[in-house]
Amino acid sequence: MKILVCIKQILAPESELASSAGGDTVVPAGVVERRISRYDACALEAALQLRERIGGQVQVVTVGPAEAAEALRRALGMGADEAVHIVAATDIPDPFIVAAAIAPVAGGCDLVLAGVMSEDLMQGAVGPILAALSGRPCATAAVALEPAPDGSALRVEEELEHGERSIVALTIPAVVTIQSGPWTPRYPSLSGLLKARRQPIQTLDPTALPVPEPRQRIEGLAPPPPTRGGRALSGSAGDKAVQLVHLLRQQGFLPPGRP
Amino acid sequence: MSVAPICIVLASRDPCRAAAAENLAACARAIATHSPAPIQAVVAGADPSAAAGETARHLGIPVTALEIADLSDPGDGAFGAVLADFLNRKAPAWILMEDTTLGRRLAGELAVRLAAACITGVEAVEGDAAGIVLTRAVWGGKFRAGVRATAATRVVTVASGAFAGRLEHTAVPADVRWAQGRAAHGGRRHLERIQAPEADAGLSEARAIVAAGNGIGEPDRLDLVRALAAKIAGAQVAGSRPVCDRGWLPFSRQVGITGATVAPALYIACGISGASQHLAGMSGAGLVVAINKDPKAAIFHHADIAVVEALETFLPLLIEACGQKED
Ligand SMILES: Cc1cc2nc3c(=O)[nH]c(=O)nc-3n(C[C@H](O)[C@H](O)[C@H](O)COP(=O)(O)OP(=O)(O)OC[C@H]3O[C@@H](n4cnc5c(N)ncnc54)[C@H](O)[C@@H]3O)c2cc1C
Repeated sequence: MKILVCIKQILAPESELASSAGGDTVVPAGVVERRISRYDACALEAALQLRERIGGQVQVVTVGPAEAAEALRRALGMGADEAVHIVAATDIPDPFIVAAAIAPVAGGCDLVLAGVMSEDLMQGAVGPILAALSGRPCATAAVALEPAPDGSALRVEEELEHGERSIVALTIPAVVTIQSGPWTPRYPSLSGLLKARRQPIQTLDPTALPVPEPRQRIEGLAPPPPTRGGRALSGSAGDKAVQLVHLLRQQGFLPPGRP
Repeated sequence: MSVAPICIVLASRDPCRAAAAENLAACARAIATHSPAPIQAVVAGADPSAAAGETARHLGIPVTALEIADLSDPGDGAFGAVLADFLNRKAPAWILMEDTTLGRRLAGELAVRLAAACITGVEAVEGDAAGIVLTRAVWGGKFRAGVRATAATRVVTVASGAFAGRLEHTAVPADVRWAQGRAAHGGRRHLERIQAPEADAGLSEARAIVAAGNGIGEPDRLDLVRALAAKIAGAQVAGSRPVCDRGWLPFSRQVGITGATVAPALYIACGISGASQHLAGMSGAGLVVAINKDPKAAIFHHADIAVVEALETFLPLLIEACGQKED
């Protein structure tokens, strides 16, 4: 089975971030970490486990700026066979443009996996859009994959809300987005990383592809409006602990202090 | 020319249909305030008439019962295909669905089939001179992005509960029309549903919850969380999804949209970033205390008491202070 995994390099949410001057994206504002989005790493792990079970090839693809090649290197280090970099000047927030850029690469694959959403834009849209663009069936938020012995179909367990699940059968070729949980992304081995340094990354120039009209754009980013008071405790860590205990005692959550 | 409508889409089998319908209707009204348009709903499924009637009475808007032949579940591929056909004929300006696993997948499919924008997880609606800006969480809730659609048709999923409580009920006779469709499953067949495992009764009834997030870093630090919970009468330990994903806590202790919904009098979030999927499970808590080393963490916008500290330093001090007398 030939499996394509769509991965995105993100500015990790726990990094020091700020809104860009134009308010259309988030930029570094101090110490930042760039890494493969968590759900995409799970998708890659799912693909590698499938390959271990039934054989085949795992290709990774990313649409992103030059530095996103690092994410592909890491994916190769984890064990992907091939990597394709669709080079874009900046991060592309429009899922239609991303899906359209990946579609020609996906054409040659039996199964396309992607994360259930990216940790940055959290749209969860590239997988379903790619499936619809390429006329393939789609399952989302998968927590289990079971290929049919002849490789013609895939049984997928999808996670719904509050612990409910549904089981669907997809004919192959198909697109599946992966939820976190059952898959713990492996660490690349040192030898894997060394090998990945030497492996070629195929680069594609998206200007060679037809780019669809953008359908939506980000106009402004701000911290979320507070829903609660958010009273900050001050002083040393010890002072804060004493204040918090006092507060919890006042409200009856802790027994009164023993004299 | 008549104004293109706002169309709410519901699955007749949705167990939370009434709450979902109110949320979607309130979002539709928010859009209509800025850009007047008629609001209608479609309730689709194998046998939607009863659900369509209920929805029409509940919302006081015209509802179409869209009967889909041979449909085993809204999760079957035929659902999206029939819906796309139906909506294509209605030519709505807006299509609103709940932000669920089903809703997000359908949003992508419908957006392609209807050449529409696809905007998921919408939490608020604002209007300006140029039209409508939808607000959605990005970067784990650290920021909210304003998104403007440039396509004439927009498929939107609405975050659960984001607009609830803003609906004005009207008492009008139910206006239900009927439509029918049939489609092949398009390579996606629904096989079965697996019900959620019994919720952990301890969490939903707990007076206090101490919740561990990814910020605990290693499973041994759960002992600190447990020790804190032991000091607080009636407290239970819970976790965010990454903590349960790793098996550090069982799934039954996960709080959020894919876990439990809890409403304790006290919720102490330890090393939790404050993603909307987590907040959805605990926003009904009484007093919320957040402990996080990142002063910009989203959780601080949704907490009553904010403690910017690292857990490994703060929790031992807090546990110690619980046992000390006050001056
Ligand atoms: C469909 C779907 C459903 C989901 N359902 C759920 C759900 O039901 N429940 C849920 O929780 N999530 C759910 N999620 C995941 C959700 O989006 C977030 O990824 C998740 O809630 C993050 O968990 P966290 O806050 O523990 O971890 P992170 O986002 O990694 O945050 C960790 C926090 O700990 C802080 N920290 C790190 N080290 C320390 C330290 N030493 N001391 C103090 N603070 C520290 C960091 O600053 C950070 O803010 C779902 C996601 C999807 C896509």
